[in-house]
Amino acid sequence: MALIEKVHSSLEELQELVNQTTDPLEREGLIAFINCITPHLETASATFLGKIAQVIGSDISTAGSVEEALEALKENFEIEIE
Amino acid sequence: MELRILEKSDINGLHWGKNYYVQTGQESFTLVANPGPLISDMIYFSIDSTDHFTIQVGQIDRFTFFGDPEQEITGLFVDCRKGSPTLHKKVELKFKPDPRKHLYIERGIAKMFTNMKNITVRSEPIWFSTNVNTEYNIGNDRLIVPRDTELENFPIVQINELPLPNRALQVILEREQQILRENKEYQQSFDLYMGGSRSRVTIKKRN
Repeated sequence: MALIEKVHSSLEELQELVNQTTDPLEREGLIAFINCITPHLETASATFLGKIAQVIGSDISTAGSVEEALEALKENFEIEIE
Repeated sequence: MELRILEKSDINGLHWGKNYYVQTGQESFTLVANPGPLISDMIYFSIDSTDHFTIQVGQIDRFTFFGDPEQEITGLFVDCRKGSPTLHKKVELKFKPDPRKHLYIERGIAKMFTNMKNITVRSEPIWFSTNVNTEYNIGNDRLIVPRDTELENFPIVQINELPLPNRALQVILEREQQILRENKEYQQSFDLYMGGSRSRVTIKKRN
């Protein structure tokens, strides 16, 4: 819960930054960025770690299908599929 | 942002750029950050290869490779950008670690590296936002394509189009530091592209 509150405070900081951004494209980008973060607050950890959590490993390298790939991942991970 | 291009490739948006550095000895260098948000992630590879392509639509990569100067790395790249004149063109680059240059990879270019064992990469990403990619989320901006996918079966992606102020990227960095400081577990999401269809997968390491 504390984490979510702190994430909210970072969003507020970003929203304040909108008013300070003079470049119109950067301003539009920032507004769009805030809009795409907001729906994902409940999974904020994953959202904010997107940049650095880039490597999964080679579990899926030999899979011939989505099903095989997921089966390979199950050994080490809990999996949800959308 | 000024691009100091050293060597182009056959895909526009994939090139070697010159780093900012001083030579401090015969083969010693001190690097300072390249222009941008001043965010650097250091990535160490204990494995040889990721064995699959990765595409990000909201991030320019700038990779500087450190390691044995005689170790030859192979990078494979496929242009997957919607509307690109080199759509689905494949490029192979063979190179050795060199602190004086970085590999610049535009959004929407699939990338994969082999012979990476014991290589360290300085990653200086630049993020972009979007009003077009409605499902974009920085937490799952990873589309994984298996290595042996035929070129014509690679996806076609729309890249994010809006720049972000540097301060926004630094706010995110501060949050990443906070999460790593306070939480030991987190989940990851990515898209898996196989057989012409995309599946979103969320994984969490088993205890």
